[in-house]
Amino acid sequence: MKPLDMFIWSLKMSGRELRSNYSKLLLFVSSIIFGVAALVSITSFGDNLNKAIYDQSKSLLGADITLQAREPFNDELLALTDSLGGEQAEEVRFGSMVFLPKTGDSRLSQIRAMRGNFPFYGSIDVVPADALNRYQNENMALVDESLQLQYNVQPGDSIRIGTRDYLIGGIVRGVPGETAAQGVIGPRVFIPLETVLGSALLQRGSQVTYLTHIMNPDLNTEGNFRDKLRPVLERNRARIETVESRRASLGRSFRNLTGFLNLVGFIALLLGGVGVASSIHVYIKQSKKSISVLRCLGAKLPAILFLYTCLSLIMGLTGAVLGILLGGALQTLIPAVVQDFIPVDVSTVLSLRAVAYGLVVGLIVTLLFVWLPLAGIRDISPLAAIRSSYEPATGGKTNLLRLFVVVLLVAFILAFARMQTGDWIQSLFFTGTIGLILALLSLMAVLIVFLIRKYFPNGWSYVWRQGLANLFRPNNQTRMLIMTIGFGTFLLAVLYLSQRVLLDEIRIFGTSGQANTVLFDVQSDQAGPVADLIREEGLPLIEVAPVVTMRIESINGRTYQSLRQDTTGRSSRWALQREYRATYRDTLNASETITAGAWEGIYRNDGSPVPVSFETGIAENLNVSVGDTIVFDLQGVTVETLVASLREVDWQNPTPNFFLVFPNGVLEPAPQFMVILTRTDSRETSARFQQQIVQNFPNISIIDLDMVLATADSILSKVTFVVQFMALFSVFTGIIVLIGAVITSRFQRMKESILLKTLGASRQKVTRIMAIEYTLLGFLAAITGTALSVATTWLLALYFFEAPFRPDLLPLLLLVFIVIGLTVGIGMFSSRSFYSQPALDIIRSEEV
Amino acid sequence: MLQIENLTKTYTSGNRSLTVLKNVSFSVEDSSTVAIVGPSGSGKSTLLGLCAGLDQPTSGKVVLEGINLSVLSEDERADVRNRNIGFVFQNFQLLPTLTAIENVMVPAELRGERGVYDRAFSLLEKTGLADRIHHYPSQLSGGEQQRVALARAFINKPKILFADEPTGNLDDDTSSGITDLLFNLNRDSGTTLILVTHDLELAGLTERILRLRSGEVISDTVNAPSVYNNGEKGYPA
Ligand SMILES: Nc1ncnc2c1ncn2[C@@H]1O[C@H](COP(=O)(O)OP(=O)(O)O)[C@@H](O)[C@H]1O
Ligand SMILES: [Mg+2]
Repeated sequence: MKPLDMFIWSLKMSGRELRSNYSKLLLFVSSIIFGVAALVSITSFGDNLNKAIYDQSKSLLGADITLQAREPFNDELLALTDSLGGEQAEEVRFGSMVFLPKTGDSRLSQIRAMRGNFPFYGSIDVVPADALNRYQNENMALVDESLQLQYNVQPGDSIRIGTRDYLIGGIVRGVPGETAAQGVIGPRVFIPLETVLGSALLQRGSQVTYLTHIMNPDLNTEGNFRDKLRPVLERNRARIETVESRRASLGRSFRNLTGFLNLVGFIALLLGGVGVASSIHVYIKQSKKSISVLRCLGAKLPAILFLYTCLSLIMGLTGAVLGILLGGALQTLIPAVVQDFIPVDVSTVLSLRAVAYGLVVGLIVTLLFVWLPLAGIRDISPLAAIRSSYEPATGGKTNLLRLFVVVLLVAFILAFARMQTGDWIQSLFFTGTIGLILALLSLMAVLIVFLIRKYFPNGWSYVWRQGLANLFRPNNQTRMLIMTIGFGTFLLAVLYLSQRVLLDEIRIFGTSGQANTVLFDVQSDQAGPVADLIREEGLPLIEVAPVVTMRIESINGRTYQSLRQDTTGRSSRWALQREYRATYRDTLNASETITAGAWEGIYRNDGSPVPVSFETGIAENLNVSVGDTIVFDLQGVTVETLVASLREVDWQNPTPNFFLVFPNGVLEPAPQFMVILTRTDSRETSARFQQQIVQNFPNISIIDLDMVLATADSILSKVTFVVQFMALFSVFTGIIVLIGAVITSRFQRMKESILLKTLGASRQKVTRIMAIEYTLLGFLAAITGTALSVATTWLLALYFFEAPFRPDLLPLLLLVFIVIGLTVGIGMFSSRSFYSQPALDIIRSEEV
Repeated sequence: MLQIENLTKTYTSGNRSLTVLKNVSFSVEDSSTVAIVGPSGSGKSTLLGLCAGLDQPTSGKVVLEGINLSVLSEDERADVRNRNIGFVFQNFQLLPTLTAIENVMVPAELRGERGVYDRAFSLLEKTGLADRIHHYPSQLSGGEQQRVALARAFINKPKILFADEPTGNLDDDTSSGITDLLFNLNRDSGTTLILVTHDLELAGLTERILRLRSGEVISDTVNAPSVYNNGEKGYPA
């Protein structure tokens, strides 16, 4: 047969096969629908997101260039800004309490003191719209919508920041380049810059950022523009952002998100692949006779392989197309779900790339998985047409074709993972885990069969013995069912468990009867009066910690400058550049454990370097260890220190935790402020307390941890929702695969059950034998899958999330029961037909 | 022309080996009819399978229409089968997903031929199934299925037809119908017929009978096919 003839013949035969078997092949098609849908919807969303970031990138920054520093621009920076020309706007950004006289509430807010026409690109969405042009001249404030929602303030009401009152000129609905979520964490309040310059709000010690926004379309900010400015900026510890850098960093962070979601979707597709493989496996098994007859009639092996490949591709294509349609519909919903934490408007047009991607990946998965069972066609001898009682002797040869397909499959999974994560190690981990889990499941199946045979309970009742024996009789599906059901259970459990790990990490925080109110920026002289006020209110004074800000001057004699230029980059830049907020005390607190060196709580003031303690993570970033010397710059004064110890810090503990701790006896005279912790037990006490503080000490910021947690929770639950949504595709696919696997095995058992019935076994007995078999299979698969998932998540938690793992047994138990229930339920349901059918019909219906 | 020389087939499983055919040699002239008879398990099907190139002998060779099958690959043998051989099986072996006429067309389609519908139809007409051509095997009785199988066997105008117990699964009345049809079609097309059966009555209809016992040819007798023609049913010596 010429290739073209072969193709035409295969198409013709596929059509004939489909015509009479479409119901059997329906499972095949549905196996890949959900996986493809997941991939298509996520990819399309990712594409649209990227496009939006690209299209809207100027308004993401609002300017062509933004320079920022932690101190007012010095002469060198001012000269630099001047040289950049164009139109400029200034901004000073800081956190401060905003007091609302109307309700008596106060709320820690992000204050943006502005001068100039920022944003130059895009526009702040304000109601009423003209307020944007007026607020700077009329000394009004624009406040975030979240403040309005929370306290029902309106334009015309007044707010107090520091000691000054402002009329609310308008409500801010959106800021270009920022997400709604950013506003929830701390409501944004825009005020004129003139009103804060020189006020106590900007004094040393508070976290203030000075920005200059520049609009100069003539500047070419691409290429090495930033590199050329870097020396000046680094010298002055300033940062620059351009449209390009903002676009790139946004793109990076969202690529992680879509990459992760794509992996979750891919798992659904892989699971579907297992379904495809098992449905084709059965199909081939049932078509064995037909295949050997075709070979008798002179069909060559390539023709037959081609025929079944064609058939699979037709179904794969059908599944992929349906998946694309479903995915196309779903991707229109995603932007609405995630809009709170993406800074751009994402369109819902189905991207062509996503369609092509879904189609190609769907078809590749189909082909690869289909070829696993197809490789077995080689072993079907034409002899089977004249003799059925003998299994063809394959002579134990390894099927090279199958081996080749397995290698391709592994390579494909690896390549896909690499594409999504951009990291070989993670991809290897992903692929290796899948391979290992399948191998372990397969091993488990073999072991179980071995054990049952070896210790067969001959004393058990007939029904039990039959049910057990079914697990190892010829034509048993034990391995296949344990692998498919086990793998499905495994995936679902891992998704569930790792999600719990991530959520728990956040929830643990703040649940206990610990501090929930943190007072920042308390001046040294305010510490006493604030403590008094806390006691007067009847609140506990949980902790008072002094904070001194400092920067790194040199490490082991090498200056900050030279360390930064060191391109081998042994110390991370941000760790070198950041401002350290250190505390001093003579004891460790409960959330700290020394991991290296020894804790020293008192400095003897003998001129030797001051022994300090670093948190392990930051020490790693700085590449310092016990014995290294570091010189700090404390606002003009230098202090030589020696790394005396490294501490592990439990960050979930809401006592103020510090990267850097000094002993008592050094920092006491340095300029400093205090952090004070207390606990309020009701909304009312909290509001009253905050009001007292804000009125008496306007410079103090209060963080209400309960509120922070509630907001974090609401944002997280949206992220979780998206992840769960993707995981749901795996659930659907898992159920389809389960149905497929069980229906598959049903064909094997059907004849035997009918024979038993014919030989006089009551219907009830036959049912019970089957129920026992399916229960055992479901149980073994679910238990193995779940156990493996616990182990995997534990490893993930340990090495990847770096979070504690406390598996919740109840939901896992529930999962096991659901899987068993589904297995038995589907098994019994799909077998019900042969009770109603006369036994003879089924015995005669040969092709089983 | 089919030539069999010193054919031996041994099955080995584990450390046990079983010789199913021992040094079988014979040859069959074109257009003749031969029956291979013997008790169940005597190796008839094995022999047939080797003759048709479905399996490889342990030693000896099969030359079919001048082609030595022993040196061909599995796929080359499939091609030889497609060009030269027709099959009729005990269990009919129709493809369940194909209609009657599609089943008949398969061997021709496998050659890459197109437009074989009419040929298939006229064959089905001859077997008396003109009104059942669009039925699936499951909608046909055993006898009807075997008629379809006969039509399929002749579609490629084979030089040799192998029939393995063609009536083994049919009742007596249906059997004689199928037997008539088989011999008529065979005579019309001048095909060589090699018929495997344990039914001596059926074997009596051929020109020559090879008797097989425990894998060895124990007799090779010329038979007067007149037995069939004058309607007598006896067992030739
Ligand atoms: N694959 C095999 N392995 C072992 N023995 C076999 C195999 N195939 C056939 N046999 C044996 O060969 C003998 C002949 O079988 P067969 O040719 O089917 O006999 P017949 O068709 O005459 O009934 C039988 O005894 C059978 O047990
Ligand atoms: Mg036989």
